[in-house]
Amino acid sequence: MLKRSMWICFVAGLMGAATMAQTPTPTPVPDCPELEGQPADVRTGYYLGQGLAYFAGNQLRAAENSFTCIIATIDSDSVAAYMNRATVRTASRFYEEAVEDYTEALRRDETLVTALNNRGILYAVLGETEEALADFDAVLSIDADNFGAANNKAVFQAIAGDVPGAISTLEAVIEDSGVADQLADLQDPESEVELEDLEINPEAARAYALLGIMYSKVSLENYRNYLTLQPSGDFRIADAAGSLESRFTFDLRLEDGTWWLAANYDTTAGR
Amino acid sequence: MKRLISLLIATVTLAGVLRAQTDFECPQPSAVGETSAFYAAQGDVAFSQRNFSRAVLLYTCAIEVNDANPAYFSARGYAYGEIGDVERAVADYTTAVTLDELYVPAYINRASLYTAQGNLGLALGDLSLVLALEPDNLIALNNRAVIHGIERNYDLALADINALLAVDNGYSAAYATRAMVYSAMSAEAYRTFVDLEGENAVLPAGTPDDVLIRLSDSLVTGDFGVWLGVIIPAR
Repeated sequence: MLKRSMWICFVAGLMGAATMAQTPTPTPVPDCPELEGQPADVRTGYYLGQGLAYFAGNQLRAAENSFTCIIATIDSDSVAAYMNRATVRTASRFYEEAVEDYTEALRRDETLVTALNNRGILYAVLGETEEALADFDAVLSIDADNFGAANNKAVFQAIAGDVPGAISTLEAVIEDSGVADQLADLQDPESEVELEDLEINPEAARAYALLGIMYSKVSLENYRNYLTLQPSGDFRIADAAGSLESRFTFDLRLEDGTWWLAANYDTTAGR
Repeated sequence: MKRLISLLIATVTLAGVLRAQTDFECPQPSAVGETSAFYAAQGDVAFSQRNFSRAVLLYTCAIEVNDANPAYFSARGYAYGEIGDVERAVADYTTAVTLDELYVPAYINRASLYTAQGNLGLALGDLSLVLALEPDNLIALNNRAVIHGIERNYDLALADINALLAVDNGYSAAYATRAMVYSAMSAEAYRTFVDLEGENAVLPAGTPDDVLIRLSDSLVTGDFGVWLGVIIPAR
């Protein structure tokens, strides 16, 4: 069965939105009358389909109820239901409840890298640094080639102030993924390799973009250091610093930088 | 001209639906749970959102996975009916009752389509079958009363409505249907009066509309004056 994943970059302000995260409220068990008396797999399939359809229509409360029906009345060990409910709760900004759902999923399958990655992002949003890094590291200990998680780890390292660590993580992605060799082939004037001939891992390619941001950040810090020491120094440096600062404010910001964290919402998760 | 425009619109609409059916790919199913139920649920949600064309496509996905479940054909038939594709709707209901000859919702909804088409005999057949299976089926009783009303068999219509209300006297739709039956009887009686007395004869208690309003008022006020208009004196 094909696995269709949807990679979604968190949009601007998610980190800022952490302060607006809605207070979790106990979820009452909704009415779950559909297909009563039918086999559990039929009812599970029905409520999964219903929940995903509601989610696609942005009917978040209804979607959450559908997945709660599975957990509360059909199968309390349904990893798929926990994973999908976590997605809905994330979209609803019930971040703490979403963390709980990913944790429940991981209690049933501790190797579920999607849950670890997405929970790591939620921990980052909630400002729980150690937990976030632990989740990204856990993904990498299970799947060293999970370059998405490595990129997330690098972003979070940078947000936490460890830019050298972030650069090191990203360079490892570039090296381990083989994307550096692919790039060298493409840039070699003697080579006949075309981009269409190569299967580029988008996460590996993204490491270059993130690395650019890291070096921009380092550049900005160096410009600032210079301007601190020489406030009336070369005006071109002040201009360059201003330009970079502006870009960090509007385009590349890392400080509230869940912009660059990537979650994986896989509707088929939980197999 | 209007018919031509309607035909063009219908053709364009049908072409759109068919094109959508050609392009549509069933959503990726979940890794767990029964797949046809997964699609049927998505069809139900689309239907509840009044996206009937999408509901048809999703029920079709369910049927492609499991073509032995009458509920999927019946649901798709209902969605077809909502987009005006009566022929496919009837075909789906027929498939549903072929798969399960006791599948009541399909008989009831097929009867509704037959009624709208004027195939009252077929509609009566479906509803009578339902009532043989489930004598207290309120919807079937109501809908059969409607057909009796259309056929001017008012006694039979009232018998069905009264049977319905004996089961559930809080079933509000039945009162609307009963009002329709009595209104039809009223209209028919006035028609007979006019036939006997001539087109220009004065109605004893006022025009039918006036009488209805005054009767309705009398239920509230207790003023029975409207009835006095039809008292016949001895000579």
